Amino acid sequence: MSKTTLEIPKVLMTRIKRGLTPATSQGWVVEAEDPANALTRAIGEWFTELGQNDGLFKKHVYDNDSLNDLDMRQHCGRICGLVSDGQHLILDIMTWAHTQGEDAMQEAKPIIKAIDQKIKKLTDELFAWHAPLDSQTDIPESFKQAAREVKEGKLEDLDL
Amino acid sequence: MAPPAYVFKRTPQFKKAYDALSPDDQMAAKEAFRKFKADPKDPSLRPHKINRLTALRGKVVRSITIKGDLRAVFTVDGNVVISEDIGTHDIYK
Repeated sequence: MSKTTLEIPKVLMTRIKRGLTPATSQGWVVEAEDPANALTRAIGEWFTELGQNDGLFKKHVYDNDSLNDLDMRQHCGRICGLVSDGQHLILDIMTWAHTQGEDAMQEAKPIIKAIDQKIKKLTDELFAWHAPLDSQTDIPESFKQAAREVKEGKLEDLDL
Repeated sequence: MAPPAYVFKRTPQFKKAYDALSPDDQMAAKEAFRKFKADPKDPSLRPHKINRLTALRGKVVRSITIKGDLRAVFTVDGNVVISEDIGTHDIYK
């Protein structure tokens, strides 16, 4: 196999040797995106992802007739990811608002509240589907008791 | 292929819940379990998986309809069918 080498023009090579031009001059410097615009875009993307995940959860978990461990782990992973992203988003908004002053801090409050509400819904979901059975307050005690009995092998013949 | 030969068991909790039912509900349960023992998948019992309980238990939890809101929940371990509880709890629907 033949080798190819990048031929750097002599004039550029001279400039690199002098330290005038960076060797990696193939990048393109662009103006940084306005932080407020970047935040607005990130918030929109997070809410969009949340909506997409609602659809995925309904199809692959809540209405899935062949629910398995793979589905449950993806469910758990996606909820945790969304919660983590949401919290980082709030941190970014708070940091941005703090640097902008009182008006921005007031403007940020309802946005943070909306994200917090969604995070609360996600953590409730996470708890309801992934926390230990005994810690679930809406599951009948009789079901929890039966589960304990099965675990302990306390089974009798069905005499109906 | 012949259907699997099931062994039917229950929890003490199932008996406790059954004993607490009204005589009418007990009669209905007896009739439903006669069909259930013949075929746990009998469509007239409307057997269905309860996904949240399945997730929390880490094993498939199914429910059958006895009558109205009255349901019995069961799990299967190999060829052993375990009737676990009976009642009108919303989560069993």
